[in-house]
Amino acid sequence: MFDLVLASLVHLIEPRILMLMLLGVTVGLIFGALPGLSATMAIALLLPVTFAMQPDTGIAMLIATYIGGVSGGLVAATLLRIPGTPSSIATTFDGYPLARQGQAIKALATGMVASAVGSLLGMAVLVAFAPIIARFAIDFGAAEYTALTVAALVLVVVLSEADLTKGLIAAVLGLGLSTIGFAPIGSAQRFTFGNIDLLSGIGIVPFMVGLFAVAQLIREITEPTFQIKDKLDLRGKGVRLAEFLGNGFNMIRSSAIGVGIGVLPGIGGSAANLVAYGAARSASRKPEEFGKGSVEGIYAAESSNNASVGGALLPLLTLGIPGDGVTAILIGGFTIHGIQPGPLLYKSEPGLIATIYAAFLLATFTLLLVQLLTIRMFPRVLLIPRHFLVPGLALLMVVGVYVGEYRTFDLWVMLGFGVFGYLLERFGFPLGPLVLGFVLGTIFETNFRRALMYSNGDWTTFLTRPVSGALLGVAFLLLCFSLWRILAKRRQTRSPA
Amino acid sequence: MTTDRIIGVICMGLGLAMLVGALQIQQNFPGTGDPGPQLVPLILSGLLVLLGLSLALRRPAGKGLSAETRDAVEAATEAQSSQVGTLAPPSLPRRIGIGVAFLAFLALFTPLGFSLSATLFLAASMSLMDRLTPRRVLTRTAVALVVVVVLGLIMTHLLDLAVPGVWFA
Repeated sequence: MFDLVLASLVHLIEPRILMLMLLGVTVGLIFGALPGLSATMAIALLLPVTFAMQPDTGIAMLIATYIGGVSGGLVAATLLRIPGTPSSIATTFDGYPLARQGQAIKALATGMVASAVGSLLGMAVLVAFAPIIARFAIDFGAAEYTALTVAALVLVVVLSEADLTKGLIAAVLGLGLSTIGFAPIGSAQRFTFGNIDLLSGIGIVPFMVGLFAVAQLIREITEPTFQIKDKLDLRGKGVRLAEFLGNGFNMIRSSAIGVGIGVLPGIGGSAANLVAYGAARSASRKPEEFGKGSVEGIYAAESSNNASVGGALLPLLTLGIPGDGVTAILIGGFTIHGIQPGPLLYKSEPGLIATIYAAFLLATFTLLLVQLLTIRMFPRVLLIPRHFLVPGLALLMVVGVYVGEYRTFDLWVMLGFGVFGYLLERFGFPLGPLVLGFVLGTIFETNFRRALMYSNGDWTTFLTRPVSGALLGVAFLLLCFSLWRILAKRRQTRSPA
Repeated sequence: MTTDRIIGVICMGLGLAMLVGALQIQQNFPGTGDPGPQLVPLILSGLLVLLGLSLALRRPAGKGLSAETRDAVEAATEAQSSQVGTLAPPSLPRRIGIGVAFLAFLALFTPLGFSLSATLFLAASMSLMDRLTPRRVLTRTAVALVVVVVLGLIMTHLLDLAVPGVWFA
């Protein structure tokens, strides 16, 4: 594998590919830095652009965008106390106070270095554990995959901390949307209403761009947004080596938390940075400095959210199960490039796995270099006026969706899902389960029907096979636990104080 | 809460419509044990009806986020720095104008081609996002032209994309 990774690295540093990865990192950074925009949006917009590329080039560019998107959030979190992405919430606690003490550059540089270390540690875990999981999962049959998709969906609903009923409705709606078009087995048409464009189902790109990007643009023009009143304070010096080395264990612990949470579907970096920050404060010799500009806090928050990328890629690559919006789009990208993520990928396409690892590594260093070289310049993206940003993004969305399949129909689908996504969020429905339901729907149905075919229609096959039974048991227990929590909360609010 | 009830009823309606649609799916010789293409949509329609019913009938619940997460998010989002102010959204007529411009852009993207439709859309929407003055309209049209030309060149020369109507392709 080492030789393959090395060969992939050599291939990826070809000027054209490197330039595309640089473009991916930059777009990811900009989308991550600007509050309201996200890595999910960046990848959704760039995904169609990669269709014309070789699979390895396209996937390298998408991974670069992903890593850039997760890291970009620290800029607004540090300079404005606005988390650019949810995964940078904990960075605001110490990044901003440090910046206000005239140490903005130190706060930013600390975050950048911690992000790079977190990415590398996350990748190390991915490289170490992915083959083991893949080897275990290679024996999974249709029943196991059915149970796995059910468990993943339930986990997303439960862990997303949203209203349970609304989360389940969102998941069912997502599954329902995935049934449009030809059935995955046989050639039955479903819910196409005679429309030829619906025969192949709803495209992942218009669906995701609509839900995440168009919905955000609707919010941008209908709701108040932030505006920077003064000049950005960009004073101070960079990272001190002693501080970096002194935070070695802090970063390892935070990265372990990041990977652990990143593996779980539906929460990812947003929870990882808060949990890692809390753990760092509990373990610190100077907990009183947390919240007042402690570098330990920045190291913890930023290393954990980047490490969650490695964690999120683990179930995607080994099981073919995405855990969040970003990995859901990535799985769409993989499929479009003719790659089926899952345990077999490790056997059949080791070169591609090596390319993913190499792209991860290269993107991490490219990102760090770009961030450090533009540390006094890049934060100015926050000053882009909204009257340029919003129309510019709308333009990118339309072009991005159109070049996916070169169909005008997809533009209207994108608009429809934009309005739908905006309304769903407005009424408290989480988008995570909807997206996961949509992406996992075909995997679920294919395996569900295959499992029943293999067992001659015996439904107990899902319970009698140990892994499948265990996964369904976990899903059931999680649902029961959530219901119990709701009932307990109700009882608490009803009893007098 | 009334909103939840309405949404619950909508979900039930959607579930019933899905049920009717699922019953009309043609089963083409399913194999032994294969439940056919109807079953999953039927299960989902049933679930949607049940969940819609539960949303419509239930009593109000607390906020979804846990107390710790809520506090953290609030602390991060509400206690913004003094450098940051709030920018009001465009007025309603402007919003409608931007919406119309976007719809027109989608409709005219293929007939007019990328460069012309995008320039018109960008110039119109950038101008509508702010107070209109002749100078602003002029500068924003110039910005739109530059953006469209640069994006067109990137698409055709760097990314090898075949978008219709790109200037200087």
